[in-house]
Amino acid sequence: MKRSKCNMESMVSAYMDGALSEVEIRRFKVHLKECPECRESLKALTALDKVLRQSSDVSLSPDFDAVFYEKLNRESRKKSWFLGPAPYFSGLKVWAAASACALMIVTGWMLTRPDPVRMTAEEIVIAKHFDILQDFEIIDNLELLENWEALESGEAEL
Amino acid sequence: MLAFKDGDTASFGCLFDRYKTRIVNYCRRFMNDRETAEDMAQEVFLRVYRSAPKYKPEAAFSTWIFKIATNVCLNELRRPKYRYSTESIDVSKTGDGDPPLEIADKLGIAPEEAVARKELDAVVRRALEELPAKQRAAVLLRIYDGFSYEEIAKQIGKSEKSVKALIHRGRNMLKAYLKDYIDREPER
Repeated sequence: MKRSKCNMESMVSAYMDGALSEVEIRRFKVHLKECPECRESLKALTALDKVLRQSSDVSLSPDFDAVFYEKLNRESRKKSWFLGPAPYFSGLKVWAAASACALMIVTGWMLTRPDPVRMTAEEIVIAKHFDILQDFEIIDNLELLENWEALESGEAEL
Repeated sequence: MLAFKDGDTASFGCLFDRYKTRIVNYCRRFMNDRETAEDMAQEVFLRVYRSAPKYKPEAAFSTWIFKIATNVCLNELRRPKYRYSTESIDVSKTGDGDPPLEIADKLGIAPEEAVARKELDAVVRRALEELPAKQRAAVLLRIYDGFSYEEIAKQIGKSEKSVKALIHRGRNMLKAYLKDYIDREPER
């Protein structure tokens, strides 16, 4: 497609289609007298519109209406089966019903889920100081270390 | 449409009868395939039927229904079979338009002229098919259905300024494709 050199050529279509303001129309008419390129473009595009409008409309298939109403009936049947109670649950009511269902599901889950592991107070303390208690065995056997020399010489027994 | 919204089902039939030919032809020029065009036109009316409860008369009904038709056509064009197709549809395979004798009958013209008209139809449709989708929509809505730039902007979801540019570029592209027919035009 050849690019136009005239920057007003882009107004040709809008001029043809009556899409310019009165001021623009006056300006463009003056311009047309001076610009052969825009005159040529206007002539060609007007002829193009005539050619395009000569292409004929197609007739509809004889069964067009029947096929459409069959589709419409099929859809209405499907809709009435799927959304039977829909008239009773429209707009905000749908949201309210959905929220109630969601609430019931969450409550049911909370009530039926298995109990979490319950710990005694002592176990909780152990868990909190687990690092210290890991060394408990050494602390518990400190007495052995104190008597180590006696044990080694055989003066004491375990 | 407001009557249909209020429960008058017969008024939907009136709307269907009034707009079906225009919508089929719009889809037909958009898609260059008769069967697909009729399917899409039926989809447009199904959407109109479904949207009735939510319908708000913010614009003319014709603007609204052609907006739906444009969306249906643009969605159809996004399907892979169109997206990756680079060759034009073969006119002989698409059952392109009415037979020449039917055209002659319908328009009251000579059979030879009807043959020429059918050839022109095919060439025009192939030329339209070369335009990018939104450009095609804008050109069709303007030239065949006479919508204003403001209405087209609403229908294709662009600004009026963009519509102006789309239509002008579209016309210039078509001018190049249909040069032979345009040159013959003054002699007709």
